[in-house]
Amino acid sequence: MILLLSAHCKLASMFLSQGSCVPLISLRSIVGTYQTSAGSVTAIDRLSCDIQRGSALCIVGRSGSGKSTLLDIIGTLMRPELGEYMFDGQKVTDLSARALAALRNRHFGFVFQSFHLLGHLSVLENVTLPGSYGEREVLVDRAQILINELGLGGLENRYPSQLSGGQQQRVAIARAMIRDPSVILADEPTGSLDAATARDVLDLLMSKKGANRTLIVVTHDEQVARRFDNVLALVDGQHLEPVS
Amino acid sequence: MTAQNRRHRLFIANLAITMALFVIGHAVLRSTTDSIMQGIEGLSSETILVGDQTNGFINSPSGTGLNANVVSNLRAALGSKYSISGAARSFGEVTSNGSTENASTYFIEPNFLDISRIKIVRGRSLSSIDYVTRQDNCLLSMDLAKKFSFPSSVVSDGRPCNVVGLVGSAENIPGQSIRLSVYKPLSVVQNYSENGETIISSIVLRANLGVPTPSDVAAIIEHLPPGSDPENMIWSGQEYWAAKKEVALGLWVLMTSLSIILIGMASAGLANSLLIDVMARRAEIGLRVALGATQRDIFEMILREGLRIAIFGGALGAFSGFILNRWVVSPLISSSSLTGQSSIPIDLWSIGIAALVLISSGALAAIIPAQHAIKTDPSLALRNL
Repeated sequence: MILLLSAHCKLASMFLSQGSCVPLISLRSIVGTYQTSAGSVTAIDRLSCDIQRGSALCIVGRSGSGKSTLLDIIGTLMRPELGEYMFDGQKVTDLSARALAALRNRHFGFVFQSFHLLGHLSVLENVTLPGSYGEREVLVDRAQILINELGLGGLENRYPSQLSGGQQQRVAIARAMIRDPSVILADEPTGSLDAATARDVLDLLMSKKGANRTLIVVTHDEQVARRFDNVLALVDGQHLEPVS
Repeated sequence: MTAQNRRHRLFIANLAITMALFVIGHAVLRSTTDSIMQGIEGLSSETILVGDQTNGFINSPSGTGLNANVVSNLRAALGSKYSISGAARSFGEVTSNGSTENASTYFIEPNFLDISRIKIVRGRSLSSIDYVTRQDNCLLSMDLAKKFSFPSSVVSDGRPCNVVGLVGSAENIPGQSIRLSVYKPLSVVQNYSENGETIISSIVLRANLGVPTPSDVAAIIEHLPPGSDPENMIWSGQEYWAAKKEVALGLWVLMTSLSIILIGMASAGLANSLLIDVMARRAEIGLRVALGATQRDIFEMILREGLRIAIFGGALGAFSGFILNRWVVSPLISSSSLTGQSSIPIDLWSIGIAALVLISSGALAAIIPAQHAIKTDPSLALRNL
């Protein structure tokens, strides 16, 4: 088991079992498999780890090591086949599909390598899309603040196809931030961007980490990993090893 | 325009074409069945019709071999038991107040309307004086009078006539009005003479008491022109009505079946198209799930889209069908005189029901792709696996 602790909680790590600093995310003996045309693939195999609130963590690993699957399990996009997942003291593995959807909507913000913006929606509509689900609310005012903050002011009514790659990823980050989530999960967020834009986007992501917001980035890009204090390598889906 | 919008527009166009075909097909069907039933409004069990049934008794201006002498002979033989009257018919343009309609002009013997039990609803019927001194008087069917905004005179069969009354409907078929028709005294039909003989399209006999007997039919056969085929020329009103109704019903069943197949195919097409759409949008559905959409949200989204496509397609199709019918199909069919009507009516109730069926089918059709959509694995979909 590897304990990952944010700075303010490091001293308390020794007393974790006594509940003085409950991890935001706790995975115990997690097994994650997915189906492909070639059959079932076990990407995560009895993995355990804790992630503290407010930490910024980078997970690296070679292709096929299970990084994205781990991110999907943490983001509740995939149910682990075995093991126990606790989020903020709540047993996620016992939750219904509806409760999981509400948890994702409220607590997780996703940023993907290929942006995954909806082409038929404008920038503003893409950013406010999470407001259509869970506790439905109009998020236009908050979206407008985020859009301006991320340097997208004036592009609200443009469509994704009218934006550059960097601008599209900024829209995706604004969408991930719109619910003020506890965790931002970014899967190769700079993978489709040139070096300069990637740096800007990463700066932006790092700036969104806070005392109550955890940032987890999955990447195979060393340049990205170097920006993090906590870098862990996922080995064969079984162990997370610190990378110095 | 995004690929999704393009696909949805294609689905809407598909449904619109289906609906337009339905509207036009239905209008032509109604017009055809109306045409089949035209001219037999007054038939009943005590009536016998003599004429060329293959062309429709009253619709046959010549070729029956019937003439004024046949009518006289039948009167001599059966006049004590039956009221007997003959009519000739022409079909062509009738004009009034600067507008023109294709309509039937019936040249009727006295009492033809009474014997056929056709009612006068306004003004008066043709009287004996109209057959002698006022041969330029005529009656109009209510439908034709409405087309001309209730004129005081019309020109039919090339001759002007003063309108003295309006014919409403046949007593035996309440609610069914007489089609576009002008009724004139038969005495004016010099045009309907050949070799000095007045040609008759049909003869109507109505029993004064009881119903026709086989011996009456035998007497009629005896007075038919040589070479006549009694099987085809003599029908009881009830038989003829039933035969016509059967043809009309057959057409209705055929067209309704075709419509159901058409709507079924459209629904299957919509289901298939939406299924392809759902598969093309796996990543979008995966993303929506990642953003917090529940299975119900996804199901409702696909269902809503299916409904929206069906509603737009249905409405667009109904409108296009209406326009096409009014400006293209109706003039084409009228000019070929297939239906004997100047325009093909659109039955709004039927169109409304068809639209409802199409929309319901669209909703049902969307259920399969919606079920498919909720099974999307967001993890795989977002990684394009």
